Amino acid sequence: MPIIRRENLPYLAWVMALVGAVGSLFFSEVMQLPPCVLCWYQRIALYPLVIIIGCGIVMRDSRMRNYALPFCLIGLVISIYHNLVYYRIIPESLAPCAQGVPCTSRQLEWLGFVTIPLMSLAAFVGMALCLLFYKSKKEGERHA
Amino acid sequence: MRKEIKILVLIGAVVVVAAFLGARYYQESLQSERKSTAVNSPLVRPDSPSLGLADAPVTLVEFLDPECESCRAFYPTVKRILKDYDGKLRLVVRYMTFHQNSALAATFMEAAGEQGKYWEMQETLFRRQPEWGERHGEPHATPSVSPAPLFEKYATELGLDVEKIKSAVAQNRYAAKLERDLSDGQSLGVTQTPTFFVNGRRLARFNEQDLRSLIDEELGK
Repeated sequence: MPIIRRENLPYLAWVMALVGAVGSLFFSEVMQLPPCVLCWYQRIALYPLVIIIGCGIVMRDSRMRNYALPFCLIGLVISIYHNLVYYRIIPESLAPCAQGVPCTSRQLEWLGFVTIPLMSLAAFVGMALCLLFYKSKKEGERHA
Repeated sequence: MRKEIKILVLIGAVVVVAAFLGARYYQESLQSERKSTAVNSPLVRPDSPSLGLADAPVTLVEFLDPECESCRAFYPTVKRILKDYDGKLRLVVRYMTFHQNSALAATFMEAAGEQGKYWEMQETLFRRQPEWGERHGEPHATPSVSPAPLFEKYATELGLDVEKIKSAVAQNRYAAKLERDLSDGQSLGVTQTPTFFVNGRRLARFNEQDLRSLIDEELGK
């Protein structure tokens, strides 16, 4: 029995949210990389997902995507914007970065391309896909 | 307990434990790295620009980049702190020339220093950095124009002998010094500017409040 089945996708989404939350705290609290404004907005969308998806899993709620996906999409939009700014596709002057760390400062680059905004984007895309493709075992039956 | 809860708790525990182990490992490696390099990379070199009494109880070392926007933004704060701790604080400047025109700007500062106007030049370059420096979020200016004529104009305005400065630039007189500062900084773990050391203790979080309290701590000893 393969582990990756559509009914198990919420676990994958939850792991992404959890690793994202713990990882972002690791970057800021342990490695002391100050989060920029846009990073904070993405955190706001990401952190609740750990709880929301977790509760959805525990309650076997097949309607999970109704309330988890909005957070994902909000985070995704901010993340796309952040990446555009970060890779200088659009100018930063539009971004609220007047104080603190500029949203374009490259604090971390693993293997030459893995940056924090890119990881965030990957997580939001991954979670959104998981939630979109998720189907509970007996879709429609349990919550009739 | 439900199967789902067990799975979540298990995964959660693994991730959290991994993060804690990672944090401990990261901090230990950081500490040993600092210990091993702190010895052979002095924070202060005899020829580093310095402001304030040589025997001041607290030495503040700033690794700065003339083209760094945060250094520019923080510059008035440094000045204010120096004023507030007058007589108790010595500022030492080291260069981390990360940007394209940083080395040229640092050379102009040093060359102005030969004529006794180091700090005036530093202030001018910071104050007018928007005229010549790279700005975050703006597309890279390529091929970029050398800001040398602009710097020469600043030098003239400061009443400096521009020819002397030009010859220092032409001779690359400070290239070795800038190179050495960069390698000192790197072995001390300086990855961003500005980075401050207060009596050898590194400022962990870059903000005015923390800098002041670190200075106060050193003064209270």
